[in-house]
Amino acid sequence: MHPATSARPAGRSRAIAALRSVMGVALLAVAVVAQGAPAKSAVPQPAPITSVALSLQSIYQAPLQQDHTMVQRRRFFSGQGLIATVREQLIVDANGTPSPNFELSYISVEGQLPGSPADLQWAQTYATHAKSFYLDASFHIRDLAQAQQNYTLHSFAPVVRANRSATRVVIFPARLDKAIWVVDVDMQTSLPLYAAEFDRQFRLLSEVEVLSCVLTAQLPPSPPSSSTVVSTVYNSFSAALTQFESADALVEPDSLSVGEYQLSSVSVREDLLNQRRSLQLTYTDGVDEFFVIEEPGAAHPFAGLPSQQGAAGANANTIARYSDHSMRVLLFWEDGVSFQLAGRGALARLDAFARDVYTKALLD
Amino acid sequence: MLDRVRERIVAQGEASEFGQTLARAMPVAEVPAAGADELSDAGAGWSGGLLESAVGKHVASVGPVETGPLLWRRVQVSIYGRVLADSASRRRLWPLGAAGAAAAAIFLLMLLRQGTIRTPEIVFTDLASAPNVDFAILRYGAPR
Repeated sequence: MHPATSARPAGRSRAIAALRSVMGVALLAVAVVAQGAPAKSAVPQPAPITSVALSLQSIYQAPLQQDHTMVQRRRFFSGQGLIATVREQLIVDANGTPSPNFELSYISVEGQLPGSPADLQWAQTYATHAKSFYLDASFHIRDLAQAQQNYTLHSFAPVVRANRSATRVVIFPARLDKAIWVVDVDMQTSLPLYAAEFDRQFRLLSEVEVLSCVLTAQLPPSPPSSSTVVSTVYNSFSAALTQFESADALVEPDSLSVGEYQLSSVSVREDLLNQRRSLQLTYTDGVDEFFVIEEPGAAHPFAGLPSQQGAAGANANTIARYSDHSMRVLLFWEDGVSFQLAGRGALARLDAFARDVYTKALLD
Repeated sequence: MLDRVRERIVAQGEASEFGQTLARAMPVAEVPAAGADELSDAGAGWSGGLLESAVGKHVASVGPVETGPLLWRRVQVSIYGRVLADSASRRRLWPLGAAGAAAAAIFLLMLLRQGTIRTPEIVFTDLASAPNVDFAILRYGAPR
């Protein structure tokens, strides 16, 4: 396990982290109130409920042990400031493992009539990416030990969410180049009933709000999937390489260069339309994630760019970078393999990590 | 050979500044005729005060010059000692030189084998809009 902080005295780093978290909690209180989210309920408090001791561990274990069916609203904030609010249904059949059976299905998009082009587009998007929306675009404690090391939980206030008593908490990172989470946690089950993602300037990046919650789950019979992508998880990088004919050009990144992030899964994704396979490495710090995707057989997209010619006349190697407050994506190509690194916008360390991966690919 | 070496040393001494000073201070007396009193005639060319001084008495009392095999043996030992000392110092320097040459040869061989290792030049190019990747859909939703 890599330590979250550098070699400073432990007491000083904890004091600094505590001060930051207190300041963050105070500012978030202002931000959430300004957003109009209900911080205090005007409805009389329901009868006292035996509440679960609130901690990162209880939040981590809740989806593993508690069946639930939720109708929720998911808000997407585009780079141009556009907001799309989509209504969806989540059914989770817990099985005691970190990989429960679940289904996330599209219901409607607010402001659009059923059957409209936007409605159909969203329906198709959910048909393709619903699994990723739940696994990678929602708040989860992905690794308890790492989360306890890299984040602190601060209880803020009691609230009512989806007609259930909940506690508003702030999950604050030890390093500020990642998201700050405001989560309303159900007092009875510790299930997240509301999750808002903020950056360090307290801009709202994503939001999922539960409208109704039932503590049962009945998964419908699996319909024929309209997704054309099949994903298979492997135990290790070397095991995944066996699925590729030309695996020499694939690069196993050096995990020591990403600090507290650790490799959490290796999967091979196959597009059934063109039989093209890609290798996806997922790194996590317990809550946050970023991805490294390597796709053999891709054409060089930057071959004709002027930046390929260095000052000395020798070819320069190009990393295309897109970065805003929500997302950071780096793209490069080497020896017939297209590389893609994607993570939160504040994670500037991805630039150096991409450079390391590219250097390793060039020297191999 | 030793006599010739001694003669050469004497000649060099006479020609030196010190020898010339002595010659001026002590002119060479004429060789007296046969039968003459050696002491009185030999001292005719000498300064009377110098002969009677402590210097004169010291010069007169100096013993005969040591010659013979013993002296030559001492010279031989001295010369051999200097030669051996010089060769020993050259033997100490020789391993250092050899090691340096070997290290240079190995380094050159490594360079020739691997070629020149140069860090690849990598440049970042910023995109004006989000690329069409799955992660963009996770963050922004469907394109609109």
